[in-house]
Amino acid sequence: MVYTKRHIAVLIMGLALLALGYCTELGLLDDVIKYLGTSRSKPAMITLPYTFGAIGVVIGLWQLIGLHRPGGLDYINSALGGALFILFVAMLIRWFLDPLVAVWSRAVGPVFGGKYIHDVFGLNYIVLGIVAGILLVNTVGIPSWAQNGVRLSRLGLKTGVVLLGTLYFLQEILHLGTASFTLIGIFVLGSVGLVLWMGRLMTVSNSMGGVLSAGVGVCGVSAAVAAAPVVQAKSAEIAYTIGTILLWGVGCMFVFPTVGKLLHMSPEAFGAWAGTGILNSAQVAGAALAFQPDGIETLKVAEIFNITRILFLPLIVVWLAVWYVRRETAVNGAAQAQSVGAMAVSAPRVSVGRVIVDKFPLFVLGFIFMFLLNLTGVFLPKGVSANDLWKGQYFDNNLKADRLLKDKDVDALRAVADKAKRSDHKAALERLIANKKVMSVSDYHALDGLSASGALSKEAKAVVSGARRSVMHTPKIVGWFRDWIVWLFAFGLTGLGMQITIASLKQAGGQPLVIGGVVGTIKAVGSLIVVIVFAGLLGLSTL
Amino acid sequence: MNRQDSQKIDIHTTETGFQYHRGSALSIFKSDRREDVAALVCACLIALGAYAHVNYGWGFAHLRTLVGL
Repeated sequence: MVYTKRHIAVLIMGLALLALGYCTELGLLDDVIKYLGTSRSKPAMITLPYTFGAIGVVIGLWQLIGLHRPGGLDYINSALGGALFILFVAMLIRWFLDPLVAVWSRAVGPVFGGKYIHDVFGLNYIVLGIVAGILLVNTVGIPSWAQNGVRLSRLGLKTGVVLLGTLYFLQEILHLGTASFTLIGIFVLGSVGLVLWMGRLMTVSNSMGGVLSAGVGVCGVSAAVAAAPVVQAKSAEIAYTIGTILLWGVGCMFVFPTVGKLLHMSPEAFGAWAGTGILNSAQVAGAALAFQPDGIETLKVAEIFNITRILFLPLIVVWLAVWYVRRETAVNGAAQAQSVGAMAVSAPRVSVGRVIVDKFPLFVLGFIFMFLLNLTGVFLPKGVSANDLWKGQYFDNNLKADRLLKDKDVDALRAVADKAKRSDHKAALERLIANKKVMSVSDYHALDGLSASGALSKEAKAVVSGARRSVMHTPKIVGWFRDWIVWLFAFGLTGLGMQITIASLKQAGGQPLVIGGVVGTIKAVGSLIVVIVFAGLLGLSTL
Repeated sequence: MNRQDSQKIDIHTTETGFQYHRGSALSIFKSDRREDVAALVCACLIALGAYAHVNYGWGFAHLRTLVGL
């Protein structure tokens, strides 16, 4: 069978992207960019459309005039058009629709606690991408030439997760390790147990209960698919579970950021909550980015919790294997258990070691590999070691003259010099005034404490904040990785939206939806309470 | 949907009846493991590209100079 469709759409998309890059480079879009306030994105609006436009033209021409024969090359070729389609939609949303919604939202004015509509509901390129995907697939549908490529979205998400390993540093893992393992341990094991118990009460089949418990308890769709063979789940049961997880996850993606903002949660606390309480990995990333679209801190914490949850997958798979064998034996009864034929069908022999080798997601190992690679300092500038890093940044106070404090800044600091009570705060402030720049990492932290103490005037606080920012630098390559991760997630989640049909959501109806809804709610509310009440104990920053 | 009907749904088939002969409705890959390997390869290529760009200046501008644009 030949999968590649001879269609002009990919070529047109390629040409449209080239035109976008060209118009941006010539400055024809400057007024639009100014109106939307996206001047910082201008370099990317030239580079990315040129690059992917050229790729699109080559693929489009190949699809139109090339000879296509059944085989692997044809299969991959057929998927590239759809991948470009997702990327095209993601670019339009990120550079035009998202800023346009923000402009309209600001025009309406603050509506809720001084925040704008798009802030309250988290209407950023991630959420808008998923919504656009859902609208597309449920109205005009995904064109036949793009159908294959839409199924590449999960690859984008997994690649993003692997690269995310380059953004974690040992200090953060050590800081979050206890919190994530405690929270995830309680809620993953608790959710799996609760689903299995409710399934038994509601007389749901063992295979349905098993696959649903993995999906609800661990990391959503991947876990459901991984656990399915172990509990001999039927295709319909996998589809039901996926529908339940997606329906619940989409709801969470909108509700979680709104609740987080209403409660004024810190990025760390929200990341911990989202990483624990939201069922599916994709929606964890979506909620984290919706909560904090202009930074990566929330996403990093949420993904640490998410990764910790994924690390529980082999344990859950083994638990389900043992549970299923026991349940089937019990259901069949002692008399049937003596029948060799019945046992052979209902209670397969499961090798614990084989299950772990076969089911452990390799992309999690990739994440860990990238993290370990990062620890070697290979991605850091010369002269900077991983030990010099603080929250992904390193200290360097070799500043050019124009980055030093100005005389009026120094005057603002002198005016509040006697307000500092603690000796370390006072000494750090004196050194800042004398040298017009922050002199050490310990001064950096002491000045942070001085700002937080409330002793400084608004003006002095701004000066201290600027001085602190000027000496902490993000390694250049880390900035690149961040950009790639954001685009990979935008690609993956827009494509994910294109797979959410109303029909698949309806499939979640009935008992799986009830069980998933009850356990999902308990997990979301329970983890929120634990994060709020035990934030200090878990080592999370306060709300 | 009764239990017997439920067995007829397949993740290889969309609601519109489109049948994926290769991969599943969720992925073009034959298995999760293959998709994981592809993700690892993509991530490594991106990491190498970013490394080459930051340390050796390879990238879009370099390419444009090479082709004379």
